[in-house]
Amino acid sequence: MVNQARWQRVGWGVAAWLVALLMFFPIYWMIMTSFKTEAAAVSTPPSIVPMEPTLQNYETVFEQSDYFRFAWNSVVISLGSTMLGLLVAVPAAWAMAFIPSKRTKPTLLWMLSTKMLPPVGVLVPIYLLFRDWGLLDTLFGLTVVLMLMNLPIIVWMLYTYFREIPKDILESARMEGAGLWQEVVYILLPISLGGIASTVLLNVILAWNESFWSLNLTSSDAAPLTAFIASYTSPEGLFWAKLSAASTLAIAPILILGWFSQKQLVRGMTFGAVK
Amino acid sequence: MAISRERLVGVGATSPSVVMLLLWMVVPLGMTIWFSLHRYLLLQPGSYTLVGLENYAYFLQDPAFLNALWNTLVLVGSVLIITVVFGVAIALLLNQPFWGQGIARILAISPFFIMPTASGLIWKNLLMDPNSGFISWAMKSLSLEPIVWFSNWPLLSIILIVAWRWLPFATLILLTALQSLDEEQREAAQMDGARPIPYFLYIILPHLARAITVVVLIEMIFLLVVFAEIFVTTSGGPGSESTNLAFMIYKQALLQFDVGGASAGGVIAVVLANIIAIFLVRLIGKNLDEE
Amino acid sequence: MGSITLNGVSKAFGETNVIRDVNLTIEERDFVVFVGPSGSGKSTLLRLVAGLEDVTSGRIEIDGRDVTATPPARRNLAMVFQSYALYPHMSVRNNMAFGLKMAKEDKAVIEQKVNEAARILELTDYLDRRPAALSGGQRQRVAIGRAIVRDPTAFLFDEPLSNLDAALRVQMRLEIARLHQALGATTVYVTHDQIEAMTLANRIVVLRDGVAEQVGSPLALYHHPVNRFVAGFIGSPTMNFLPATLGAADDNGVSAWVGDTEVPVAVDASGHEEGEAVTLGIRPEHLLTSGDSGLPTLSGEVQVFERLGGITYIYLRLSDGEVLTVEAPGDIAVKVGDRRSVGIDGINCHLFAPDGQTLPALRRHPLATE
Repeated sequence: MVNQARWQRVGWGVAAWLVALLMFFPIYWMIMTSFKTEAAAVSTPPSIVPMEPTLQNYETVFEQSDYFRFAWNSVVISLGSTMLGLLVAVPAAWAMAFIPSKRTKPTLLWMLSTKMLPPVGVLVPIYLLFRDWGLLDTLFGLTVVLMLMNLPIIVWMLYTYFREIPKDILESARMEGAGLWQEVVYILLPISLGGIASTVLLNVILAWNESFWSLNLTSSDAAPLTAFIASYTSPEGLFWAKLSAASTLAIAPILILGWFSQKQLVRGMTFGAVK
Repeated sequence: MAISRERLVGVGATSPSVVMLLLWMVVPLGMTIWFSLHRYLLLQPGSYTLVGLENYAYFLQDPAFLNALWNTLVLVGSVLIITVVFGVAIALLLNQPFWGQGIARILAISPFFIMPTASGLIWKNLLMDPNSGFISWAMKSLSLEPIVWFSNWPLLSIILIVAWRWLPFATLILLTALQSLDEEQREAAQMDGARPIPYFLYIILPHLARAITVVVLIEMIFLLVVFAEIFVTTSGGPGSESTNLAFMIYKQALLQFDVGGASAGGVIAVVLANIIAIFLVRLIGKNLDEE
Repeated sequence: MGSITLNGVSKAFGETNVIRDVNLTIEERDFVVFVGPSGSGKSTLLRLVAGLEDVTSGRIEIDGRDVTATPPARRNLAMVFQSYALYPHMSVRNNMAFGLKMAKEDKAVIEQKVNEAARILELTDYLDRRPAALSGGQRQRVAIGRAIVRDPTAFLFDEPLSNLDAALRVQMRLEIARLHQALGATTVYVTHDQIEAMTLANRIVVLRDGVAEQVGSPLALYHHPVNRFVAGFIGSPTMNFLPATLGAADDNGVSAWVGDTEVPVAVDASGHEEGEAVTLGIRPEHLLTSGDSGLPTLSGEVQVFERLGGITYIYLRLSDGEVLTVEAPGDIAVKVGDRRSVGIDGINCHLFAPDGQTLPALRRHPLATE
């Protein structure tokens, strides 16, 4: 009996691993292909690990395309939109958490509802406005749009973190002669540093992968990695190994960040409805 | 008066966010509605005339629209079913203690962090290519006829790619919810001698109900506007077999330069999304009250 | 330095009036305790003094200066919170130094003041720890230390001991009393625990529904409560209240009939008529269990008794169903179901009119200063 239960456990463990490997397989396959020669990449039967591993594809990606410019754009856009969002969101979240009024809840829910506005609904006017204002294909334009896209999530996440801070602590600082600014800088921000870091992490991930606005509002100068990868649609798509190398490069940093942010992801994406 | 001082600070601190979001929402949305009432072709200067609801009438009678709407619903529905059903199963699998649980979990969650353009291209070429793709090779090895995915099953192909990205999302959220199923309740059920299937049906599933609702609502918001995966794989084709509402609006606006028509489509998409948003906002609001 | 005056102070949250027209003068070096049941507005009153809430109407003065519209940061008051409200991200040293840093005090002065406070509170060894690494009592002392380094006009305490266990609470209570004697700073202290109020205060403010029911020294409140609410709130166990009827009045007071027992009580019953229904109040510690004292007696059946060692509480059910709490010696022989009589001395009795007001005593207790 004991033995049977044990084997059953092992069996379920193996099943879990199989599922995990299956889910991860496309990523694994992409990484492996990025180290193959183009010929090996399309050969049948495919080899599970590259027979003659090569860095050639990475070299080509670096040489032929402005890879670093795209990567830099991605960094600027994702960090920029997050930081800009943080700047606007911290005061709002602070006020909502510590000076709640009858309007707080409706305001918060209204903010969330703006997140639910489908981007296609406003694609046309935003495109036309950007065209008229000369903001098409600029880092500034895309950064602002992504900031607005993610602002509700940033406000929401900060709000939930701030709300965990006892009001007493801020009041105590106030009693000790701290002004508003000092209260925020010396007390609120340092205490919620963990929460702010989580917020930043999640929003960097979301902004990094955002591919509706980045495809529609940029073409070359301000194009981030999402758009760069999309350029492999054709005819470079035929070069699988190079596509894989470019994709691996584009994905790796965010994949690693993502692994660290599983919990925050749940909190941020479900707006606290699942804990 | 002294009372208003604190309130004033509060309003002042909140207003930048509110004003920005208000502008972001109201101005373009207002413009979309305004355009949707006009005949407005970008390539024909001066073609800017008020036509009332003509764009809507045109849009709603256009078989391409109905087709796109249908594709959207099929895409959303299929991905939801796949992610919820498999999400529950995978979450249950990953929630049991086994060797290397942490690593297995990370591997299973990873697809969510892959940018849609990359996942679209990787699937289209490396996996689904009818000649050299891994899946075709696997099918041939099993002496099956390889599927010509994007020509014969374009929408199904898109559904698989999108589901691959969102299944980890569902899994992660359901896994989090599972972990809050408290130990005592589990032990009490064991003491009562609950067999696995009744235990799943009467304890686990009700406990997950809320998380499943959240997954469904949030995925709906994102799935309604799937774009990049289609953009890099089928471009809506062949014909318009894999064109959803979002892609159709994009084509109408930026490829055919029909601003009026695209705007009417945009309004319809907003209305659809709002129906879902009402439920989601109500759910979150209730949650806010409970705390 | 350190007088606080409240002038017709009221506070409303929306439609709810939390504080109603409180007038109070707190003298320099006073230790004033706000006491009352939960929801009585005692914490709100303290927060109004602190400036953490704005008054709806009325005036607050500190040292004769109108501070009604002054933000808390500029009132120079120090507050110890119920939760201690220590800054979790700072060491004990920085916690204590924060207020001084905000005041742009000289580094050397800060260092010296913090060390001095740490020495007084025996925190020297913990100066570099974070609050999370301290015990409850130590956190409490840090909170107090943070208050004393700033040398404020007055100390405000908001239920500071309620998160401590019983033994520690007694110890900290003594420590706070000692500190007040040593520093002599004006202190306003909020608690729901009347023992803390009695032991710490030189003046107590009893609050109910936002109204200051009575202000006075602990013994004045104990011996001369102005109404039934104060009588019931001060003293532990709580005072016994028995329905009674007024009898004949003379120069020595009035007699009150509790059932068939006549109790002469030394109060001024003018304005009240013979036969009027009143309430007689007597504290458990004033009921006499020792044999024949020649006093009027009440008798009943022992329902329960609790032995605390030094004393015993006997719960006596009278013939009319009222239950009387009696404090008896620790070694008294008692059994459930016993019939017992207790002597009741009119000198310790209070009479309350139907509206709850106390009939004024003819003689004041010698220790009950205002």
